[in-house]
Amino acid sequence: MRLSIKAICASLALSALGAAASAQAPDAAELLARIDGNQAFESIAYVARMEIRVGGQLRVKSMRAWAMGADKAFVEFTNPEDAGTRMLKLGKDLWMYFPAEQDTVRISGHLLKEGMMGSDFSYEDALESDELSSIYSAAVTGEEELGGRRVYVVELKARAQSAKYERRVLKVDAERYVVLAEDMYARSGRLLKTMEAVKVERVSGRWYATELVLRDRLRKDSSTTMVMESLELDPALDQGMFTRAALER
Amino acid sequence: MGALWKIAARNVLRHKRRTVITGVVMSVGIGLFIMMDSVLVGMDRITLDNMIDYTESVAKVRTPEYVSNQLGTPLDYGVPDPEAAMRAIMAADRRITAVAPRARFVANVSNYEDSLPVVATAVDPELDARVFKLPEAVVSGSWLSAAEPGDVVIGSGLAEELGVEVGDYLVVSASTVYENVNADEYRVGGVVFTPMPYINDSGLFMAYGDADELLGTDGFASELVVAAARAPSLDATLADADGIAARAGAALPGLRVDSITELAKDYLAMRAMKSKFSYMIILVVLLIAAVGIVNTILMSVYARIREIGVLRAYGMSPKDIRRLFTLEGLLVGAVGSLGGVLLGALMDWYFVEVGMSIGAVIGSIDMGGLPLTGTLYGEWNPATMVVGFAFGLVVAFVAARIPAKRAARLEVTDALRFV
Repeated sequence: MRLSIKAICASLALSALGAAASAQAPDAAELLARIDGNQAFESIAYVARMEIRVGGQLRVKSMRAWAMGADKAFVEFTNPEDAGTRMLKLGKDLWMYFPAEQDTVRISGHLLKEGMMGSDFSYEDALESDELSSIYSAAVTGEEELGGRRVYVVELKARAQSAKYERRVLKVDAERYVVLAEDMYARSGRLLKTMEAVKVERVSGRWYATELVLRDRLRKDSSTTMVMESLELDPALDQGMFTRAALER
Repeated sequence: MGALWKIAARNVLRHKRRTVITGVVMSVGIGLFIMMDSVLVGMDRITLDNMIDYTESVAKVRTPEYVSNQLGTPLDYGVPDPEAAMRAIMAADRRITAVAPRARFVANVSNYEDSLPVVATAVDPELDARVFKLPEAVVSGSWLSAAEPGDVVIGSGLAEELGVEVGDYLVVSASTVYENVNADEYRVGGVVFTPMPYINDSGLFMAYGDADELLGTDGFASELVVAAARAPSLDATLADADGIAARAGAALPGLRVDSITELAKDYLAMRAMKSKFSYMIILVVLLIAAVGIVNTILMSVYARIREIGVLRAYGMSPKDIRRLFTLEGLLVGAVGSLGGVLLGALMDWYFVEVGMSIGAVIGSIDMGGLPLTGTLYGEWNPATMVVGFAFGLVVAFVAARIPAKRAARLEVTDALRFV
């Protein structure tokens, strides 16, 4: 009988601890809303450097980019090898302008999933803004330490079949609500890419990952570090820059 | 005239060595001409046959929207109700032997180290094997089987570049019908080596069941490919394909049916240009033959100018002498031309029946992406034989006529003293 009282006491104590823990864990939907509040944008302008590592080789590309939502983006490469190469993304179509040939090539469909300029970032990864809360259902599956910071482990499952990834596992900074690491999975369950935020900065009152490393898990020894050297969130942009005329100017 | 024929025939037989040399020169020249023509037509035939047997088929059925967007290999604009369309195609023309659905898509294939872009094709393994010769091109492993899901067949160059062989596993990733990326692991079930370089270098084939799972499609057919009985010649192949496409098109309103004439239009345009070059080659062969023929006949006539003098001394008129030598030239020309046609026919027979391995001749020389590999077979061309025979006669006639005319004009004494 004494044993059973002990067991009841232990059980009650564990229940109380569990209740306290779940009371501390944020609501998943609220968490997603906070992440979106930090990383979703109406418009963005940045100067960035891409360090593409494949095998033992390093290639560096620098660029200036402007984007509005998920549909409009304009990128101009500034590194000497690609200087003047410009890209315009309108919806699911992408045009690339090559200054040496003074030629514009249209890229569409599956090619938008390909690595941009040989990097691990697809054109979509680099040029689109995801509002996670409208595409994924979320569940907080745990809490852990990552790089000295407390993170929530959040599992996202695509609500729409058109979601970029079927499943995503995020590690979200528990205080700043920034994704510090992410695993991206295909519908088959295979891990496609991983992301790791190296540097998080406060920009326009939001926490934003300004240096991150993306790894294509279907390629060995391949990673791309995107370093945002200057970043503006929700700046006023001229609609005229997202046109073919601007691309071929 | 009858007496002149007899004398001419006797003279031809009397000067056996000269006749044989002239005949051999003519035979070789005309024989080479006939063989060259056969081989050049055969080269076009093998190129077109390889396109039909490995990538294009005799005719393709697609939607006009798909054709407009085909560069992006979309998973949209497929043939609606492919089963019904396939039945309609089979019923459209008796020459059609098989129809199969295909779905083309661009994918990336990874051996966990490198990732390479490939042109992937979803196929119905059994139906596809009735249209294309891919199963015969398998150099290791086996062709796909609907009973063995999870297998892919890849090109030999791709296998080499990825360092994989039959039994190894690859990850294939592709954009799905939902416009996101899916990836899965597949076993290399077979490796193909085909005459089509792009299949070898970047071709990947998977069964429909696997492709549907990877792409989120449901039997999506970007095209229906059509096979027909092999026609006896290149021109007949093109004519048959056009006829089949017209009939199938009439049975499939709203769909676009392109025959191999349209599918291979770039190659055929190049062939039209190439044919000018081919005619030049043939012309050079004919010129060489003509020079040989003229030379030997001229020599035979000039060597006999003293004989002409004797004939004149016996009272033969210059006109008869001219006729005699022309007849002799024609007789030798006829024999040589006939020999040339027979020699050409013999070489044709060899190329038509036995063929020649292109690989053994040109090795691994890159033909600029042209599917000019495999065994080259010649084609019978009776018109070329008639042309060759007539050419021999005309050249012999001209070659004999000119010196004979000159010799007939000589004075008897001059002809007798001619050295």
